[in-house]
Amino acid sequence: MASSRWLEEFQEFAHSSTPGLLRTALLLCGDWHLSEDLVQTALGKVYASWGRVRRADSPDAYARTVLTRTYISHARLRRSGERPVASIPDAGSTQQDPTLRLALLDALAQLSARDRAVVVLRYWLDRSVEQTAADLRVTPGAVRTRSMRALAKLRELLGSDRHALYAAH
Amino acid sequence: MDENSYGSHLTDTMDRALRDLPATSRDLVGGAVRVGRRTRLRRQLAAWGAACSVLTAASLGVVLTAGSGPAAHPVAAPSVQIPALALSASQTVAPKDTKPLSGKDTVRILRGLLPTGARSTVSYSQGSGPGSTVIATAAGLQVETAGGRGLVGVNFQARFGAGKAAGPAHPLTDEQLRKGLATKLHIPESQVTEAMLRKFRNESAKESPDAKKVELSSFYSCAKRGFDTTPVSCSVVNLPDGSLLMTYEERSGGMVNRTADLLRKDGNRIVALTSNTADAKHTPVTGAQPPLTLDQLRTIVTSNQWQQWVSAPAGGASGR
Repeated sequence: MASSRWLEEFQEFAHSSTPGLLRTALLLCGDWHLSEDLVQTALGKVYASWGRVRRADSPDAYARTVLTRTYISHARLRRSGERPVASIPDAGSTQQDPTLRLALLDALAQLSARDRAVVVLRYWLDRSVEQTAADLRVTPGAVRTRSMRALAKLRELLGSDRHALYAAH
Repeated sequence: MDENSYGSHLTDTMDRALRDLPATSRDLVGGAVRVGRRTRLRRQLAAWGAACSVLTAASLGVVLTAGSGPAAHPVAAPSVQIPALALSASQTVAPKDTKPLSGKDTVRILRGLLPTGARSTVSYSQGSGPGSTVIATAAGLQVETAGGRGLVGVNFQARFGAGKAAGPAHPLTDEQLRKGLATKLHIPESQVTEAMLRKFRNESAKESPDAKKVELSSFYSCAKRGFDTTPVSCSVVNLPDGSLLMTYEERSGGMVNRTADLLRKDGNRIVALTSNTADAKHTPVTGAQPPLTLDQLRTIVTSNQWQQWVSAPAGGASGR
């Protein structure tokens, strides 16, 4: 049966894509534990359709799209119960100061779920306006509008001077 | 700084902010496989019995040709007729002293239709889906016969192809919805709020199987059914009473799955499946053959015991 081979293929794919998906999920939802849940749910959906996905041009892109839609769906259901930016993993012994991460996630948390998704797709995953529109099932015009609005808000919250932003460390 | 340059700056910021994230300590891949398998099983259950359909007037009476597709060894069959379904709104209301067929009823009837000497244990039973406007049930048994050992499952769907009824045949309780939502979101049931319940109830109604449109002429076609793997045999015939019976066998590695899919003129659809595995999907094969033959599956689906309304005990039953 093909399923054991498919399972191995999927596991290999999932192991290699998990770190990237977790970063994307964290930007989307701002909570580490929720990020893990979203990634697991998204990968579960990918596995359920693996027979088709494995033949796709880019399983990575497919998984990212599934993750984004899973987040949007989750955010829609949990609109009144958004978790604060709280449980972000400590980078441990690395040199990274968590201040920047907190500032970024805090700023993203002040955007609507869809605006946040547009920002992450456009500026983290480097998706085009058209691709972002397709991923979120909205029009390109809506993506442009949301993108401009979100960037203006983030610039206001984070400031545009990267040196000032990084001055803390 | 214009939008483009600020976008570039933002990308850089995100990159720096997430550069040193630690790896997760959870087995997300293992969890994803478990989630994916459950999803597949649910889809399979839906495909057997509850995953359809709004019948358009145009598809009534369409002549279809079975066995003419790309299948490797399909059994050729003469043209068959989609039955002219006798559907009416009154079918959504339980007649006096009856209740809707439940998951437990489905198990009971299926067990009674197994060949003499078959031994069985219950694997699953399921009542109508969330927000469903039609009665749709399922049951699965692990069965051992002289022929083999493995799954025997059946799905019953009333008013197949009738479209949406005026309202849910029997709405789920809040407790059932809460459990379903907690599973959907992977959160404890205690975190499910009233607002989420309302939202989920609405979405479930939208996603109910009968919202999906499937043309029966394509659905009951060996060429157009859309099998995961090309069946080694497939046929579609009209039975003397005008109902439509599709039978097929699929093989994948050592796994053998056999299905009989009956659409009756009263709009009730009964699908029976047997496999030489426990779930017809992933588990190891238990032997060379499933416990039942296609003829035995045909006997099960053509039984007149499959009715959407069953006698209710005196005093009234809930119907679930």
